[in-house]
Amino acid sequence: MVTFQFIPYQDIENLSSAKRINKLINIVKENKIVLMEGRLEKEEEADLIEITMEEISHKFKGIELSVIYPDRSKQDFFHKIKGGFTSVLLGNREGMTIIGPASIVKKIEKNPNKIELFTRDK
Amino acid sequence: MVKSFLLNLLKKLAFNPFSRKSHIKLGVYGPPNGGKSTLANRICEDWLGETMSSVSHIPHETREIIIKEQVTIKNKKGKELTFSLVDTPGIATKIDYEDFLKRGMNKEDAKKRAKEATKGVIDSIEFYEVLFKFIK
Repeated sequence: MVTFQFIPYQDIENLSSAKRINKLINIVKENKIVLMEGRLEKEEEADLIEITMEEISHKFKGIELSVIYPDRSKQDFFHKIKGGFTSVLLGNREGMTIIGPASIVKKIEKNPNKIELFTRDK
Repeated sequence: MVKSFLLNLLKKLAFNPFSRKSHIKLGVYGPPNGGKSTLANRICEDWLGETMSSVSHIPHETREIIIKEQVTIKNKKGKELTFSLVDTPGIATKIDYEDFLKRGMNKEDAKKRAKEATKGVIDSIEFYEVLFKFIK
């Protein structure tokens, strides 16, 4: 059985970067796949990988990470403005971040319309 | 080929490093087995006539940051640019020693490689963060 845990943006928006990353890693270490609304900052992604590496052991092999984000270059002017206002008012909750334990998730493939998540054979 | 790639890259970056006086560090970043060391070697072979990193079909061959100082290239007008070339360990989100076993390594070497690769990823990110803050 594979368990997905959804994390709405409101659950992480007031957390510091360190707490946000710890929250995500702790869930993944429970062998759950995180579906997070929004995305991490670039620096947070780097910190997430760094902390993951520090935590690697014979039990925890690492993570698979994928971010789905709307392609703003294809949006018309109206949608760009609308997206900008929404981000200012509600925070940047565009897109979705998927993080899974490498012991369960083999790879995550994405394209604009679908996500394919390949699990490992036990 | 690498020479023209480098010159095209610099053109696209829309600045003229040949007119800069300050020291430049050119870092090669990417996933494991992405060809970073191969690219770094080609740059060094073309301009210095020597290699800088060892390459392998097994991922995480580069597990330490390797810096080649004083790489000098010339543009068509004869202006020189000297920079340090930095070859970095591949940035991965997972490292499992069993993947190295599948590539034919023995258990002891595979575990050692996994441990060193893990440290290499951390070093790579820390080095990148320092450069990123500097660029910002």
